[in-house]
Amino acid sequence: MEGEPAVARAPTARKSDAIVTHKPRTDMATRAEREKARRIRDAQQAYGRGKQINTKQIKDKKLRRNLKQLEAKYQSATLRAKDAEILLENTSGFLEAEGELERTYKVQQDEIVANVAVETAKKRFELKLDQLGPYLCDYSRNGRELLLGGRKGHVATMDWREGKLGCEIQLGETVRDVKWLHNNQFFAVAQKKYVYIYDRNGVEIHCLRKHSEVTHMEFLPYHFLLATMNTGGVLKYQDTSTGQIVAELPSRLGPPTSLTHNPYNAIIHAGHQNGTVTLWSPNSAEPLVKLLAHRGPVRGVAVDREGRYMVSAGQDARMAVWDIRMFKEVNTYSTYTPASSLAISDTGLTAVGWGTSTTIWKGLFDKNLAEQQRQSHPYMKWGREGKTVERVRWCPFEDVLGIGHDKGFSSIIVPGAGEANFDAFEANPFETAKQRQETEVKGLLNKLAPEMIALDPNFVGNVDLRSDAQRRAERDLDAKPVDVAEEIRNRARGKNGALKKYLRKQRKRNIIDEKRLRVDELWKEQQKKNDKKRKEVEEDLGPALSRFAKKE
Amino acid sequence: MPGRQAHGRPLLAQPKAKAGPKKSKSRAQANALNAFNIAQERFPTKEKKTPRARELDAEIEKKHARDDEDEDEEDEEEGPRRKKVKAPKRGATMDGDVEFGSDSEGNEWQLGGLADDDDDSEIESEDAFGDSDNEMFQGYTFRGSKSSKSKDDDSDDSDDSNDDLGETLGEEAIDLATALDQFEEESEEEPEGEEGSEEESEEEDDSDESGGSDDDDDDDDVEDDSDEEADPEKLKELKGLISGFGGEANDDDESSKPSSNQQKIDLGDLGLSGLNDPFMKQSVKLLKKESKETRPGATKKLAVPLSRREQGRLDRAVAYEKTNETLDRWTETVKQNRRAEHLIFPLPQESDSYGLDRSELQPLSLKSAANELESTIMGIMEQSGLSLEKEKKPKKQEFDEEGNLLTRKQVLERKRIEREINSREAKRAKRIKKIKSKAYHRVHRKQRERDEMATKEAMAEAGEIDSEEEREAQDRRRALERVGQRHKDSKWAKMGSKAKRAVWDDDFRSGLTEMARKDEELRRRKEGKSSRAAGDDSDETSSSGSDSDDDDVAKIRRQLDELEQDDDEPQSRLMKMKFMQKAEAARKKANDDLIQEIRRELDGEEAQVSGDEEEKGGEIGRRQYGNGAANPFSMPQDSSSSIAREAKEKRSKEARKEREEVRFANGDGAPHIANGSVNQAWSTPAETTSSIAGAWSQGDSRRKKSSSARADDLDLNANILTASSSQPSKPKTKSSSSSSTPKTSRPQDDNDDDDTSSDDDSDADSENRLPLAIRDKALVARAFAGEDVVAEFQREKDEIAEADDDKIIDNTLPGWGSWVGEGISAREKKRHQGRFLTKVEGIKKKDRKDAKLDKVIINEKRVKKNDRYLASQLPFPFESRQQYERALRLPVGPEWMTKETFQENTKPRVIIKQGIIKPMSKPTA
Repeated sequence: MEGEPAVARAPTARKSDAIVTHKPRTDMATRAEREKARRIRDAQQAYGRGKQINTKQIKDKKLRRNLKQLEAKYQSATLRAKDAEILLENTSGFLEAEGELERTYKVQQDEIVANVAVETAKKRFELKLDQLGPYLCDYSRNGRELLLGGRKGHVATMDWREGKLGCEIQLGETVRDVKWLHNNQFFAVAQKKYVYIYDRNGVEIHCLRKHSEVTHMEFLPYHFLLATMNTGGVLKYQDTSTGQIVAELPSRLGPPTSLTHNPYNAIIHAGHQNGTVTLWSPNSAEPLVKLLAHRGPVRGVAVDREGRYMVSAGQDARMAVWDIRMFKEVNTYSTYTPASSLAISDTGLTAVGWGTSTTIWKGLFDKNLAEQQRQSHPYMKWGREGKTVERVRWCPFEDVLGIGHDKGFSSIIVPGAGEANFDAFEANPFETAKQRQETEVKGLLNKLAPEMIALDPNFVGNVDLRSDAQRRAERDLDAKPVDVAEEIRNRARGKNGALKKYLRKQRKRNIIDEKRLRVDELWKEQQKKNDKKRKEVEEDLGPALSRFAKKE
Repeated sequence: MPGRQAHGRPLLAQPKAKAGPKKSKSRAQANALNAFNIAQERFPTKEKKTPRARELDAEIEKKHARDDEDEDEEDEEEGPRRKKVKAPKRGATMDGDVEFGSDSEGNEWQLGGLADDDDDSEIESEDAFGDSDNEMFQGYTFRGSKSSKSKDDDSDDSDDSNDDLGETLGEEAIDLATALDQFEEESEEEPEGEEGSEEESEEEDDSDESGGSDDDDDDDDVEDDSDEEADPEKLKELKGLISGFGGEANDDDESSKPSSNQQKIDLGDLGLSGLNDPFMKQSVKLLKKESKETRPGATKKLAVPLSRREQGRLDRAVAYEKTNETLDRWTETVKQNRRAEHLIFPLPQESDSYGLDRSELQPLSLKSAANELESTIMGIMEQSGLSLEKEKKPKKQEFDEEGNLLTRKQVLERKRIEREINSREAKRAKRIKKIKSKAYHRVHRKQRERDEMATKEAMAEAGEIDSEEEREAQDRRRALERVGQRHKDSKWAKMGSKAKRAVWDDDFRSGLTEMARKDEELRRRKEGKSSRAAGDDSDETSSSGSDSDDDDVAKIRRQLDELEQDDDEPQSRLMKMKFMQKAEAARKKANDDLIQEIRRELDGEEAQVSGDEEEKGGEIGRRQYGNGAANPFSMPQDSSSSIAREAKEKRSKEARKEREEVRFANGDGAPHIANGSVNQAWSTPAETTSSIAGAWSQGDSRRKKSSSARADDLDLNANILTASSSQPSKPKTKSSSSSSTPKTSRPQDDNDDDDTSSDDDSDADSENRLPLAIRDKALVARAFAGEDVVAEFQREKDEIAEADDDKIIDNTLPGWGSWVGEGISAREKKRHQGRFLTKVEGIKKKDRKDAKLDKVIINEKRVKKNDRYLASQLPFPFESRQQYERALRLPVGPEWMTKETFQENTKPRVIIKQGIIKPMSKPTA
């Protein structure tokens, strides 16, 4: 009997280690050194940015020193990030069963509401809207506002915490999907025929006629792209900041059955009727990856925040967990009836809406485990009240799950679901109007180009590994020659000074070619223009004051 | 002879003391000689005069001051005093000077030269030259003069030694003091004139040097040359001036005479021996002393100095070297600053608190006490028992039974033994526990069965169980349902699947699920399964085919016996030790008690059983139960007695009948079934479905776990419990044994013959766990039988792989190099085919990213639009792609890092704080 605990204690490797390795202890290291090494290791695991490079092999002295400095920077950055964890004042916790016999899924919402703080208890509410059909829901990026769309044309926004209604409109036609755009100022509604964009007051701003009969919508906040998929199975990307259609990609797989996006790399995941899930970027006419996830139509797809795992649910009453970095199926679970909607929270809780109930699973995946564990029972349950679930969505930064169903909308409390510490650089639930505006401007300035979307978002700046022959083969020989004037204009766009500088530099060069001639021409033109302008100004000022005219 | 001392000391006895002025003097002499060489014929004394004249020319005030000095002794004293005062002051202002006097020479000289140049105010400059600068430029002056002198005469040791000594400023301070003393002595003894001349010579040197230093500072040799060439011209001019100044002739004479005397003439020769001019006297004295000089070469005639040009070249070479040396000292500093990521001015090493350890405070201990106060405080604390250092704990000593002290090794050995015993006993306890639990469960199951029987009988009596007709009616209903509209091959279903209504029509979808559910239900009813029985059997071991109770009991007994025998095993030598035996005994007693308890339990159970059924013998293999209903499939396959088997079969049939009756009698179960049986079908714990094969082969612990999981599921759907609990379990065996793939497992096909399938008793217990899973899969397969998704996907994948693979293109053109048209034989045609083949490289099938992933197709085509953001080639300083890409990975924005890191990364390279910024201190060595 006593032998057991000794055995259990033996593996010293921490639980969070991905691979349990037993390293021999270096006896020469002092305690402080070991402590330090451990600290670095921990930080590296949590905040590290890839493997170190061996700086000792570098021949060039200067490069070696620079890279050494760089490595030191990496390390200090990770260590500081680890140390800064102390500033995360809020901790998240889950429902814990006290004994073997107690089950967390038996806890009812009433019990939770009775036992939590008043302010938290307020977050549990029901909206009875049983007239206008099953409701779709969506939370804004900071979790502050809620958008509801009834199948029969009822669309409403509200600040759900305060219970304040933003706008409420009756569109008078089928609403297929609703989606907030980058902040709480605009939302898109996929209606019977087209997609419309409304502002927060419910005023129609745009009608996107190019998006017809859209059934599913997604919004990529960093790229300002609205991705829609229609009954014809065509995926369209529209830039909501410039209004351009970025890409139209026919999936050729019929009407989609589900759509979501991977927050890590902005790849769109679409579920189809033949049980496949396809991964799309606006840059490729074919899906980047095609997975056979189910035997029947894929009813729901969700991707976790870090873009490591995908959960899909199909008509075959199965729920599959996929590792979407290796594209391997991790686990499959069965749902009692085919699921209707899926959502993954910030902390990795997975909500599955099926039939009239919603099941919440914890620990379907854990990035720190080498081998993913199977869960035998769910974390929480809700439902069986005769409300057919249409859509489940997690509220960001809150322990709240929003469930849109045919009788309205329910907001339930799920302990431990939300990210406890928000990052105000990212999304601020308590932002003021001014901050919101600034965030919007900043977001637009930092907008990513649609061409930057790829399975590996870190590809930007990497070295092109094509061989020279390959490059030559791929060179477009029919491409139009670059127009010098255009190039110059583009190069010096916006800045008068830049153009001048460029012209000056070009003129200094002693090579006379076509470009040079063009530059000269431009130069003269500009000089003439300047002279003319100056003369005018001088005339205006008169003979006495003409010498004060600005010289260009 | 104070006067003599005053003159002689500086040159001989106290070379160190008078280093500064004397050096300059010697240089002045050298200069004078130089100048003499050039302008010997006409102006033998001009070199002494000219500098002074220049000064006079430059500033009249200065001249007046000098006149005053000449006249007034007080004033003379004033001069040296000024010197004395200034020397330390200078040391204070230029802090580096005091420390690095030896290094500073080159640099200082540069700076001084510059400063003097800039300084145009005459009085100031004179003052400045008067003392400190003089000393500072010593190095330079001497270098120049030394080089020339070393050529002139090798024996000028004293000067050299002076040189070396004079270079260190520390000694110089003393130097000045003594110099002052001497000056005072001199002034007492000697007339003012002599003193004045000395002063003048010094000053004149200074001025010369300052000019020279300027040039060197600029490192401009041409200028240097021109300057030196310009000198004679100036001299001429000055001479003209001086000639105008008649009054100053006296002074000039004095300075010129000694030099001429030195050369050739004596005073006596000139007929001046009778002079009683104090200046003259002094110089004469000096001359005499020089002539008396005992040192070799001191009195020697000086060689002819080098030409100015040569001299200049040598000077420059040396100066260049020295300059290089001094500049080289900065290279490290410059490197350091270039490499530094950030430079903050004022430099931290210039701050007052530089060098203080500002890291965290270390705990104070007696050893680490830095100063007296700390150590005394520590001592006091020690004495008062408040020592901060922990006392070492006395090592625990161990003794054996006889009280002998044990060595460490022995202690370890004993510990090891103890551990061994512990583990042995723990293992034994585990085994006993296992047995106990089995027996326990068995007893309880029996109890349950008895209860069930009782209730069933009661129900039969009350007429709640269906009659024969009722059963038939049920069968009829089932048949009707089968011919009803919504089954799989109906028109409705076919139409729906053709139009893919399942996708958009919820009604159709629900109809489909309903259909599947009903199908399943009917099938189940027909097969008459019981999941209840299945659950019960889950505890049993599957390893041995015989799992009847008798067998079990016998086995348990056997195991107990074994365990008891285990105890009696001869012990090892270690076990003979007393303490071991003691511990062992206690443990053994506990285990034996347990065994006894289990035995008692078994006996009691048996007694009970035998009490229930007296007519049946309690012996192994022969015992049979009156009510096999509860466990029809777990009957022992006793091959020896065929009669027993027959009886059993009969009984099992009966049991099935009975159960069906129960089911149909359960009238209120029907709505539950409609609602929940499908749920049940879906709710199979997924672990069994995922690993069917595994479930068969794995031990019972696993099964137990899964069964409990399933129990949970059942808990969840409490409303369907009744339906599922009464599900018949039989056909599952067959389906499970037939195959594990969903497509082939159609339990429907041949499920009439129950007994054939149920023969497989080894699987009987595990079967009860699986059926749900298999049924589930089968159901799924049936529900989506219309489209074979997997095969289609595989086909698509193969196509894509084929398209991406290497391709061979035949570029042969018919008619090129061959004849075409009619009359060409097929063989000929064939011969000309495939003559020009080109191979287009693609992606080989084995190299595909999805080669090992059967359910994934990864697009291998390059995304061209992404190329815009790729670097076309490796940027310059990087040697490998890894280095470059690593360098890119550090983010810039504040979103991805802490504020501290962000600020550090965006800090400008050079930061200048407001206020006065001290210059960098000169590097040492």
